[in-house]
Amino acid sequence: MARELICVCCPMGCRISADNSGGSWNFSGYTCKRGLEYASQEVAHPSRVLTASIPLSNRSVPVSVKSASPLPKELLISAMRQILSLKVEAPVSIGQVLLKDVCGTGISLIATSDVL
Amino acid sequence: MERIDVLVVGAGPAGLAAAIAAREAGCKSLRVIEREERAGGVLRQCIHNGFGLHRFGEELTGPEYAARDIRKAAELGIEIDVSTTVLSVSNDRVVTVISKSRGLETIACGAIVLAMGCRERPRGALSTPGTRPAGIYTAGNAQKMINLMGLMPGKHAVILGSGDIGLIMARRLTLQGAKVLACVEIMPYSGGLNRNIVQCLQDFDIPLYLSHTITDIRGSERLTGVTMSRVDENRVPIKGTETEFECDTLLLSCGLIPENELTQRAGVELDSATGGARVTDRLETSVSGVFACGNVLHVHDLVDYVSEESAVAGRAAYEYAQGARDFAGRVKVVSGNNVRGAVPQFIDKDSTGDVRIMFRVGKILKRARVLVTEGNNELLSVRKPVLVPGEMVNITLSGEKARSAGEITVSAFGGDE
Amino acid sequence: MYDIAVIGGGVVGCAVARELSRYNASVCVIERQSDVCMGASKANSGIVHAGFDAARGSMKARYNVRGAEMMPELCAFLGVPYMNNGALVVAFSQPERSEIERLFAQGKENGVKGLRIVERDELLLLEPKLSPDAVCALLAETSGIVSPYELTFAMADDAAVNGAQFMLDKRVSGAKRTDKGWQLSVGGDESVECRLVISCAGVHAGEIRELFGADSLKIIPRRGVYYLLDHEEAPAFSHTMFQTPTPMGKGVLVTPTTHGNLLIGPTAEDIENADNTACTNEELQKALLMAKKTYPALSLRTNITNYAGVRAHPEDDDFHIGEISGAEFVLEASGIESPGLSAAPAIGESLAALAAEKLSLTKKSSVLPPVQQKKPFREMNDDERREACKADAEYGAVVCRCETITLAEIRASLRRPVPARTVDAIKRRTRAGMGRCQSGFCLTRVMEAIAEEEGIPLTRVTKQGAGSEIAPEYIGDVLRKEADDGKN
Repeated sequence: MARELICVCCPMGCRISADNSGGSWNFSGYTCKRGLEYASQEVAHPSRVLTASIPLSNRSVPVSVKSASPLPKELLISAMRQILSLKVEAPVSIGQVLLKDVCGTGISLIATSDVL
Repeated sequence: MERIDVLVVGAGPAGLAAAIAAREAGCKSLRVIEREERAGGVLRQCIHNGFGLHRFGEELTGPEYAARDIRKAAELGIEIDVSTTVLSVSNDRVVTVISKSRGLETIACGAIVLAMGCRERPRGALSTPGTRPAGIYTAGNAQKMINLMGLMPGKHAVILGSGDIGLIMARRLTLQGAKVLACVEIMPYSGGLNRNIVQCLQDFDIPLYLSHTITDIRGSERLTGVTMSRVDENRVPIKGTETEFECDTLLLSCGLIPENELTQRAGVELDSATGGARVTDRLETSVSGVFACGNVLHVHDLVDYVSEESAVAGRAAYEYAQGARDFAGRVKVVSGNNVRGAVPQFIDKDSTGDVRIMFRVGKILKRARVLVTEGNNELLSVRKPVLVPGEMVNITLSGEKARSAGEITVSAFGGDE
Repeated sequence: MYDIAVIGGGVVGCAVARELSRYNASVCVIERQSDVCMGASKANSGIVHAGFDAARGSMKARYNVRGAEMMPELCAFLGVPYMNNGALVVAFSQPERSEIERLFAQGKENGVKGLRIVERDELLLLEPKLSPDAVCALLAETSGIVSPYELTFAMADDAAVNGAQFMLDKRVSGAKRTDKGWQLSVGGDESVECRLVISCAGVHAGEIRELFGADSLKIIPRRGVYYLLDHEEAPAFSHTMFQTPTPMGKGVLVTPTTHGNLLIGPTAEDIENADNTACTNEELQKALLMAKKTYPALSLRTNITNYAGVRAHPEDDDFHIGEISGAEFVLEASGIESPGLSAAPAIGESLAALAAEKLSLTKKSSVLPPVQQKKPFREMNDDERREACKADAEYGAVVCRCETITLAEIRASLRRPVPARTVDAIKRRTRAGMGRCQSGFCLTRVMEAIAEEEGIPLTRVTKQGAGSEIAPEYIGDVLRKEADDGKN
């Protein structure tokens, strides 16, 4: 399988080609070591910090949240479903853990704003 | 009339950093005026992460970044007058403010720091044809609705403009359950960061149409659809290239404008390239004792640099309030080849320290070189792999070299120039 | 059962209702939209024409001259912004001079005072930004500008205070003759009974005529686009600048507005759908090109917004005011295009008198005074602002930054006799959201004020009535709906 990636490490935005037809991933088009590292990570375990706004059951305003560390990219949408259906009550404070395990990853969900 | 040393207009990241720096420099008589109910500025609604890497060495979300400064300000006993609007700033530094709790107040200030931020370019500035139904919002307004009010502006969206807020909102809408049909950019390149192109559009298979624009808007009560057309090299729509989208929401991410109405009425000279005040390396404007920093001065990409710049302004404002100094002359900073809106526009001969110059380039420059010259004399040459219009460039010039010059020019060249 | 039902809450309908409220009669105004002033009344040039360009002996000339005469006093009485800024009709070539002379003569015959022809030198002194190609101009000293929506709202409020009922979101879809008068279907099972009907239906006047079994009237919807520029452009011209009318049309005007903006437009394009207020690129370009003939240095850098208005152009080119032949006890003001705004007060006066005659109505012995509109916060000095805050702390909460509109004023607009109920209705009554940021800052605050006042959730706040909800759902609703769909 061959893939095209845009490197996000700097404004260059190098187009990196990744190919694993030979059994392991082969990269070309990167212009620095950071680019190679990014591409290796991106094809093997692409992951993102998930941030979201979720409703509070006892307030009209929402609370903002994030995953404590990056989640596997393919889980982002199902993670959203899980966290949007949480029953969260104010008050909530920054750093408070709202869910211990997002989608079975063991990664927690924490509040990023205070709602009194 | 109340008299204070330093008044800061705005409690976003710029105002907070300026106030903290002024207080840490010893300023006791200090007021911060904020029109919203809470401090934090636009960071409150920027719930995505990526803030603070440069300053704190970790990636924070907007509210978390703001919370650190708010906590720090509270620890220093800085009072922030929230829900208070500045009505006017005079050129002799009298500020009129109004609030529900205190009514109208006039305040004589030793120095003023303007940190009002910027606003988004609205539809009117684009003269987009079509009807005017509900469902057309600036990206930032949609961001406020979702993240601060818990409201979904719509379910099927098209985004006009590929600035970072537009890209961020494409992801936000998608994650929150809406469908984003397209991101449409009139320029042949995106105005946003690569990271946002990848993580906000590609991650969710949202197409980005470069060299395209919206040429019709339909719907009487609520938006029902838009037409997209390809544009030629002069950004004129090409007939016969129309594509229609059925959508109930159109978000505009077409640029930010420094919010300088107060500044202008105070008689401060503006720079047509940045839309902000013309300032010295102390961030002092053309009106003595009035300083400007953050997005009201020039639109930044990174909040980390806003904080850094604003701290300089806060310290300089307090220094000014303590007593007038002799004017020692200024070095003029000129934006040269490929360079737009270099800030600061002047370097005070009697200030100290190295000088950071920030600017944007007019086009994409690969294997680029940034040059600072005085006449034929080269003061600084910096190589950069690539410079793009969407990203602010910053270089640091030795203070000694800078202040011994009469006028310096900042230029940028691509590898082929 | 009403004595009189007025169909249409535009500037004409509201002028009629206001005059009718001076009689001992029960009056209602039936408006299909969510607010009064939703058609051409809100999207026009805001000019009080002197009366020189309507043909001698026409209804247009008669009502224009009388209406323009009434306007200054009416605006002062109601507290509506009006300025007697004068108008100039500019000739850009010698052949156009004869048209200027014709207009001058026609104006005199129509009884217009304060007309004279100014030559190039004086003209360029009067208006230094005018194109140097100008040859001469007709100066009409009595011409003025008015805020068309504020005039309509003030007349509606004044009518309401004096007893007129306003029925909004009601479309008249049928009419049945009864032994007492007429029964009007207004949607669903609802109907309104009245003795006499006055149709002030703008672009829909022809359709309304048909409902009453009268001959239709051919109304051609004629659309025109506008540019509205920010305050810094307003000083460009002090007079309303017309171009010499040619067989191709009247040209576009460049005029200051009563709120210190510069307005450019309209173009003229005949369209099929009378409700289609879309701006097209072609017309926007045309307006710009034509305006540059008057104002060569025009830049759109400060453009705030564009909009289009649809005028009700009667095929025979004249107003139809009076009884509709073939429909008993049905009066009309139809084909009211320019100078309809100028003529509105006179049309109101005349139709109310005609209705009174037909129904033998007597005048009320006293009339309640108009609701005094408070001085806008943005026009107050510091002392006045300080006092205003003491009287009502909400003057201290600035909602719209561009135009400096306070929460106290937003609140007041929600409590007027004909109250604002939507974001756009507040915008037109207070100017919140009319400025350069186009509600970027105040939209959400205005939404909150409406939700609070009306006791509705934020998701039900609309831009301009049902179907135009600003943000129709809460973030939590999205998954809930999906889950419900899954179950079904």
